[in-house]
Amino acid sequence: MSPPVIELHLTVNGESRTFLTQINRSLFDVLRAEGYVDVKNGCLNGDCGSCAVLLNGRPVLGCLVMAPHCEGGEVVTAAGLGRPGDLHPLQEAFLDTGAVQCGFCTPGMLIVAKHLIDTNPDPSEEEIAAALAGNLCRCTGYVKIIDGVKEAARRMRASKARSKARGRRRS
Amino acid sequence: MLEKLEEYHIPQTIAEAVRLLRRRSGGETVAITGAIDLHWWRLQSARRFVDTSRLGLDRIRLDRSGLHLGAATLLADIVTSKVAARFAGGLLVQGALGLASPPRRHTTSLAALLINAVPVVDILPALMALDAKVRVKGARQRTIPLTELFAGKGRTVLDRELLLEVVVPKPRGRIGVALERHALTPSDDPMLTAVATVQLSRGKIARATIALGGGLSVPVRCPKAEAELVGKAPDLGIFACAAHGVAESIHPISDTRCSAEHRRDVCKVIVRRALARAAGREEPR
Repeated sequence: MSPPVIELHLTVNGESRTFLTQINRSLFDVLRAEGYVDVKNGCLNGDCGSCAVLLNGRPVLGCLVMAPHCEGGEVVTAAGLGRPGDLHPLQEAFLDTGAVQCGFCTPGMLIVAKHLIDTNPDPSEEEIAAALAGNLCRCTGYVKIIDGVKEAARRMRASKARSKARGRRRS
Repeated sequence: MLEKLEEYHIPQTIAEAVRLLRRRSGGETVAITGAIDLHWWRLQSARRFVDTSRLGLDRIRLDRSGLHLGAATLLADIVTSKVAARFAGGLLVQGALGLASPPRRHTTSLAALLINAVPVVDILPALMALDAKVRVKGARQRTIPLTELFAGKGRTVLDRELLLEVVVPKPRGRIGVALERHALTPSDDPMLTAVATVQLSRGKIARATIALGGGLSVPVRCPKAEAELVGKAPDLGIFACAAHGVAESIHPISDTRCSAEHRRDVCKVIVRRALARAAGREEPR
């Protein structure tokens, strides 16, 4: 008997979707089958971090999370962080600092870095390196990726300070 | 992968979860907390998954009896818990950080480590050194000391029972704690991890615990070496003797990281250091 098929209801990058999937599939399997190709197929063993997505705000590895477990959940992939012409500060900073070489690890790096900056807006280099400990990159040597996360955090803090100042002037 | 899986249940109550786990017919039933990780290889024959992530077993609380960690508590939540950070010198937070990848900490629960007797994450020897117990529910509810939970590589004494929580008793009096891990890189699985606790009274060791994890089949306590320390002065030479005794008594594995012989040598060093640090007699490096 092959594993039964279920309906899986998810919000992916802000869009409500219903997928048909077998119960033995991972979140990664479902997302890739539905064309979310920014979720990368690296090791499928939890070692490389390239399939990382945000599930209900937590960074998780799509290859390790069972699809039925995600029922009703909210998923954000790297492509959902911004869009062409309106990039997320992390995506912009990665481009500006040369943090992207082959680009394969980049989606996973962005997702983990997003969660880091959301929980710690001013991370040190050590904290960034610790946060990215589960994401492998075989091109950059990590230096420019860490620079990119630091720069994004700086821009986001500056942008928040500007909005706060504008709010004060209005009131 | 998981080609034999026929059912995936997400029970909403503990009673329903226990009923599902106790069903005998229809092949092997496995409790998971939503993710498969360090134990995926054990799941190939599973016919039925019982996802215990929605039973409210993910709380961390402190009461008079000690620290209660729900079985479905994720390692990421232990890392950020103020209660866990204040308990026993933050030893459990340090242990949870032993799984270096944040996304893996966000999917790995205590239950996943315990049910599968995973030795490579430092929190298990840390819990063991603090005399932790697990509360489980099957036909009846029972409490099992962590030292008696593991039955061998990847196996426990659980008999179709649901893991409810881990209870870590409040240490009586002042306690020194230390965790020493030896790994190729900070984010790699350890070759060996040693956790020690030491309580001093009038300049002598009143109680000591030593637990090891990493390159062993299951995490272990070292009761013989612990007993020999009691009543002695907290001296570096005494700790070196105890560490030698521990190294002789363990059965480390040989794998891609290093040989069993090397692990024994590492054991002598990290147990000595852990004891010294827990006793406040840190040796110069």
